[in-house]
Amino acid sequence: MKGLLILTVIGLLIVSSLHFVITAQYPNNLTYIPHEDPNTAQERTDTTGILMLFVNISEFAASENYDDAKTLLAQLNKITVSEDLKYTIWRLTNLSAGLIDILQELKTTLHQAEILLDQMLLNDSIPLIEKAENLTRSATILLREIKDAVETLYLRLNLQSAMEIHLKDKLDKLLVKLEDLLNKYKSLLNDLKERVHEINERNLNETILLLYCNTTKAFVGSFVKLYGTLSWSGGALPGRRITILLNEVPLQNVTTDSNGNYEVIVKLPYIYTNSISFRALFVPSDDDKLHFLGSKSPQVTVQLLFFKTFVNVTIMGDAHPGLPINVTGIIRVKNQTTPGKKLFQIFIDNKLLVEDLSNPDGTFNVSVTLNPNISVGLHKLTVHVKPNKTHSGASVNITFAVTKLPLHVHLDAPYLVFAPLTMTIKGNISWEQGPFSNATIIIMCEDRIFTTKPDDHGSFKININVEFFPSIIMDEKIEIFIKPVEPWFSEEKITIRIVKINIVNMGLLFMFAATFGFLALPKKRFTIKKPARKEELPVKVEPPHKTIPSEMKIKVLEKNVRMVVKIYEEALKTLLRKLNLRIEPYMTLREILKLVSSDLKETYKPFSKLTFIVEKSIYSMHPPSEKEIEEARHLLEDIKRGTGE
Amino acid sequence: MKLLKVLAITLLASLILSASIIWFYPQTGDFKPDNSFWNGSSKFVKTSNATIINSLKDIPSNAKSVMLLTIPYTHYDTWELETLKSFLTEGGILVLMDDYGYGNELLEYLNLSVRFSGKPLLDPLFNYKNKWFPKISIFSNHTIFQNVTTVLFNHATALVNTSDVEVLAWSSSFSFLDLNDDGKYTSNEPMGPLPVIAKKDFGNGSLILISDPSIIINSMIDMEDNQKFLTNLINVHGKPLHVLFDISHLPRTAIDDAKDALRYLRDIALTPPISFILVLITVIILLKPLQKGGKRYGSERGK
Repeated sequence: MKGLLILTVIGLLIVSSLHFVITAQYPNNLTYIPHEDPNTAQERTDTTGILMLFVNISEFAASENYDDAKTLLAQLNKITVSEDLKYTIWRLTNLSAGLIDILQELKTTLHQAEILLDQMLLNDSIPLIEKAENLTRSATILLREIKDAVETLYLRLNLQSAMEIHLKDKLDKLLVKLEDLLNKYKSLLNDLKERVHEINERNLNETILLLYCNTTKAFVGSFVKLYGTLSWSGGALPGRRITILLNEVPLQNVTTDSNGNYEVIVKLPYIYTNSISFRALFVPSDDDKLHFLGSKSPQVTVQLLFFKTFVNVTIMGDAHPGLPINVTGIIRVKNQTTPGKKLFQIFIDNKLLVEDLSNPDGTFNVSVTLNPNISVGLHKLTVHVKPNKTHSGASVNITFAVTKLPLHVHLDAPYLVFAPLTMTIKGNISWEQGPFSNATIIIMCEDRIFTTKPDDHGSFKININVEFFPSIIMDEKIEIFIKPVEPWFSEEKITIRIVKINIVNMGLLFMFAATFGFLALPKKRFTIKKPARKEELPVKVEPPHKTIPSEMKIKVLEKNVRMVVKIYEEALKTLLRKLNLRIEPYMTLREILKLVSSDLKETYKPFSKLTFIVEKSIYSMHPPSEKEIEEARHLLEDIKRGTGE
Repeated sequence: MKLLKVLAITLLASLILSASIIWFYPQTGDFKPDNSFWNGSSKFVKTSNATIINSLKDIPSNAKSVMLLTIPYTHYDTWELETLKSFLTEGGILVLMDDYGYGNELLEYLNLSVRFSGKPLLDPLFNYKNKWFPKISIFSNHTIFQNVTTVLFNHATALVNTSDVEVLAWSSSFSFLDLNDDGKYTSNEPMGPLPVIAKKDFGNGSLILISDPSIIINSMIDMEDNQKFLTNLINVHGKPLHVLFDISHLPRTAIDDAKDALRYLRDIALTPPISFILVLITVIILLKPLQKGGKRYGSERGK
């Protein structure tokens, strides 16, 4: 009872202390929690963020910073919003993107129309003004829809905090600002329309500007003659300034002569394209503004001629960091057998490494040393031939692979090592041309780092003291790094696993096992089933009849002892079964008698007698007689009766 | 006598049972390498092939080609600060990952002006589920961001006073530092883009600052491009570095102490002299019944 109480108390103490150990957290010194489980984190849409984003977009748009507004809009697909808000946000985003595109186009169109009107090019400006009018209408509709979408967003967001209200007010103001901007564009459009109307009312005279070129084909760098006339319905317009445009960019000015003619010699630029275009522009100035409209000539195209250059490049050999590569190539010029010396440049990954002249026949062969730190993998080599007057330039890119020369490492390390002895790791390093010695070998073992260097034959050897470890046996990873000095050789890493045996603990284990073995031995010695001394008994027993041969006598005696022991065993088994008891191997016959007799008094007498007979048989010098065997049988029957079997 | 025997056996059995429970109870501490739950770092340790170090004394003397990752959630001792400084000077790469811990102690010791703000970095717009999980998408062209589009942080902070470091990544322009802890943006709070990852060459080595250590926990490592970023970080020199993961400054729990105590006892018990004594005691205990049996046998014979 007492024992049970103690058990309960100790059990409770253990359980409560375990609970404390497992659940107790020390006071956290951190101000905030360091993280939460993202899988169980609650999804929350932050209204402030959404409002802030639209405020920023509107702010950019209202200040005509359309590119920044577009960049911000593009980020909207990355934001986190709840499902119920997704449609409203998506709609608002699309409307905003549409409005920003239209406003940007409207601004450009109005600007172009304004320039054309400044140049008195009435006919060219009118389509642009019409386009601007359509864009204005679209922008007005979109802005109205945006306002509706923003109202819906406010309702969905259920704005409450001061910050949210502040942002709402800001967004409302910005929408008003956007409306003002649109009104500004409308006003500008009206101004332009007014100007068109004014010009029309002035009934200005249309002018006609013609442009010709003396050739349709010419080499780059050559001179061409551009000529034409400026006139109106009343005749030629002398002394007027004409601007020659090359690809729509002003190139040169010229003044018409007394017949309204003009002529200009233009040097064709070194542009290696198929063709270029020229136009002439007349913009009325001073008094002419009161009488004439501006005009632009039709486009004149000149086909450009030049010698097209080609370049072919080959890299000879393998590319390794810090080592040179041979770049060979040939530069060819179409329709020319000898291109002459050509200036070319070699770039690796867009970095200029070589600038040189080719041979007169266009061939070149250059050695380019690679950067020792260049990474292993694919790289781009560009050969660029510089253009030279009528010869165009040429460029070619080729991809090449940078590799490192492999090292071959032969390692000789033991698989089984013993602590606290010394382990020897030997090895040999070579590469395709023989032994390799210019390297550092780093061995990481048991969190210790060892370094060595190979000898001239590439061989290395290192002795490592295997330190004690707590267990008897453990496996360990050893990492061996071969770090060559030259950058063109590859670093090698070899991982080996060894098994370490702690010989001290192993010895202790053997000692422990030996002790167990020793303990197991007496267990057999005390086993009742096989009496250890029964073999010796016949030797010491006096022979009953001298006439019986000794061998036969021994057999008889052995048989008798065995019979008695067998009867005893049967009786003992009966009793143990009945009493549900168990005997231990070290128990003496008397202890067994005491054990089995304490609970069943009826069998005490016969079993004590039987015990005595067995003791006499196995311990005394006198073997059991036939009579004693018979008595033992009777006692067994008495015991069986007593136990009810 | 019988009571004492019961008491002794019960106590011994209880101690063995308790020790077994503590030994086999799974590790649940934040960032713990053997914690395979959401807040552990078992995945990171496995993928980076990191070596765990329980003390900064275990840093190898050859710092080159070594990357040391430390999460300073407890104070540094002066010798530890000196060790880290030497590690950097000798060419090691130190990755200091902190948000609300004691990383600034090291920055101060290194005489740098950059600091971990220690205030929550919230992003109400570009986030995962809520503003405490800011998405980082603005990167420099450093190789550690190769093929990285987004890195996801979890209860992070930002770096401040970054004039003496090279900033490598920033939070979005909608993020902010929640200085007054109200979870909302107020007008005086610093707004994004805010620096979150930075690098400083120090001696022959490099110091890399990351303002959220949680990117290495099991539940975060597979989010967005976190794993790719960490792999690039380990391969910063074009080849994998030997990664050391310092766990000596991680927060501790009672079970950590209990497990450590058990490990300490085991280590002591397995040292050769103590092993010998224990084996001897066991042998004596085992031989005692034999001695008793022998006496009894002798006495029986005497009778």
